[in-house]
Amino acid sequence: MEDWRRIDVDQYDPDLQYEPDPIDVPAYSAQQLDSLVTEIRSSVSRGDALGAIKLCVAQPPYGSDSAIKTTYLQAVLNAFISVRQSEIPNIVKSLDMDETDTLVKLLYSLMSIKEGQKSGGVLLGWFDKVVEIVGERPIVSYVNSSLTL
Amino acid sequence: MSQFIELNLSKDPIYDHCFSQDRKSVAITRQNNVEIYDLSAAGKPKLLTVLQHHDKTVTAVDISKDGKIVTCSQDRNALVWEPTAGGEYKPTLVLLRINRAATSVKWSPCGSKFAVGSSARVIAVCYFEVENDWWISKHIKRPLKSTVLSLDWHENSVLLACGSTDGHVRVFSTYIKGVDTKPPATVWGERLPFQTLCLDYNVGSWVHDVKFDPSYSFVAAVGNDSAVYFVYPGPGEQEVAGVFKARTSYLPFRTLIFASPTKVVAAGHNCHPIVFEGDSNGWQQTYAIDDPATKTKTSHESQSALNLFRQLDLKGSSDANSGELLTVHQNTINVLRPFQADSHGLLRFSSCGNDGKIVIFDV
Repeated sequence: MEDWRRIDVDQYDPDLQYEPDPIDVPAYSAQQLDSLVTEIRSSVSRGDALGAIKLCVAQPPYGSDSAIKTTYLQAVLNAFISVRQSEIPNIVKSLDMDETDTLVKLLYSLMSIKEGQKSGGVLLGWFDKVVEIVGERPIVSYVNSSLTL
Repeated sequence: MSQFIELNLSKDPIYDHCFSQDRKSVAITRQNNVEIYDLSAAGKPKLLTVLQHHDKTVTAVDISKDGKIVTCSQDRNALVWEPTAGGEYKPTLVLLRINRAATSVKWSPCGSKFAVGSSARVIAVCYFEVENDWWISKHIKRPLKSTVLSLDWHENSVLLACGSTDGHVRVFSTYIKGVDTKPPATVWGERLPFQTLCLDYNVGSWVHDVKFDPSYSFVAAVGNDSAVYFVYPGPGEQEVAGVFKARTSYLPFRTLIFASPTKVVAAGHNCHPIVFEGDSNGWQQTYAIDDPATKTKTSHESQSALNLFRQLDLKGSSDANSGELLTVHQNTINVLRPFQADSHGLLRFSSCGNDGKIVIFDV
């Protein structure tokens, strides 16, 4: 019993269980997501970097199951990779507060999956530019948000 | 606009402070004690007395209008300190019946009750029972789901606003038969038995502080997401008529006060106060007090060899920049309190921070 301080004494008291409030989260079916992913892909292939990023941050499928989330993140990752480093500042500047917050949220989510870690340098490049331009607010917002991918 | 009086009172963080009614002395928390300083001689704060009885960190202190001091601490107790003729204080232990740390304490405006928030997800409302010569506490439990971080009283001493780490701003009734007179109906409700929930709004992140506006018709709260929320109650039961969220790019706020019904000052991890203005049509950030962006770094200190080696030792950097901030407060501001007001609103307010300073700012 050396780490008795780590015992969760609350688990035996039904009155002390914390149940987070139910939240409305946007969920997409596989079909709806397919069309969104296709749109993102076509924007990328057209070379419309800003449009692609705007689509990525518009309505992430927070409430969908993990397979759908992974497909979505893969498409987002491709969009991030397709943007040239020099273009990033202009794109970040033309996003509003909510969009930059979502952008950082997507970056963090990508960092947590294998595919994202393979192109970690690109993600860090984005992250660096965002923080440089808008400050720490998106990080604070990410830490506080109950909507995660 | 950037006038201020700075008092370096402590080497330890000051978690809460409260000035006496005549503003001549100030009580600050210091580790397990509360220290009272006499400020009547300008520039030379004099330690008057130390209130020693708690055996864990004191988390909050408040002074009632008749001069009684209440303190609460992580040792799960609250103490009421009554001034005696000799300038000393006589402590009375209040049994809060909580099993976690007490986090905040506030006297009701009438001075006959106080409320203690705690990590035991309970608000203890305490009142003095004359027959037993003893402070009694009644608990508000439901629907609190997490630590209560802040409390604020309505002027009728019955309604109590609370903010907690489950992300909710709530307004409760603390009506106690025999202690309170029945309050007149307000926008918050008519019939108000104990523990009636009058408002419940989920802001979605930890609520560090909550305050009623000076007309007691709505509440403002600061969340851990760097935003200030303004919640207007509706005519229906627990109805929310409108919510405004003033977002900022600063680090999260810890505390706020109303300077007037249309002006709010918030401060926190950014180490300087920010002012928000607005009304029931919307609120927005207007200016900052003690704004570091308007100041330039003085370089005399960075040139000293001592400072160079200190930087090397502490941070492993040979950068000549010292860690000193351009703001008066060198660390998080924990609590703001009104200091001086006239009929138009607040003129000056005081702040305390983790840097052990008390600062009095002009609004």
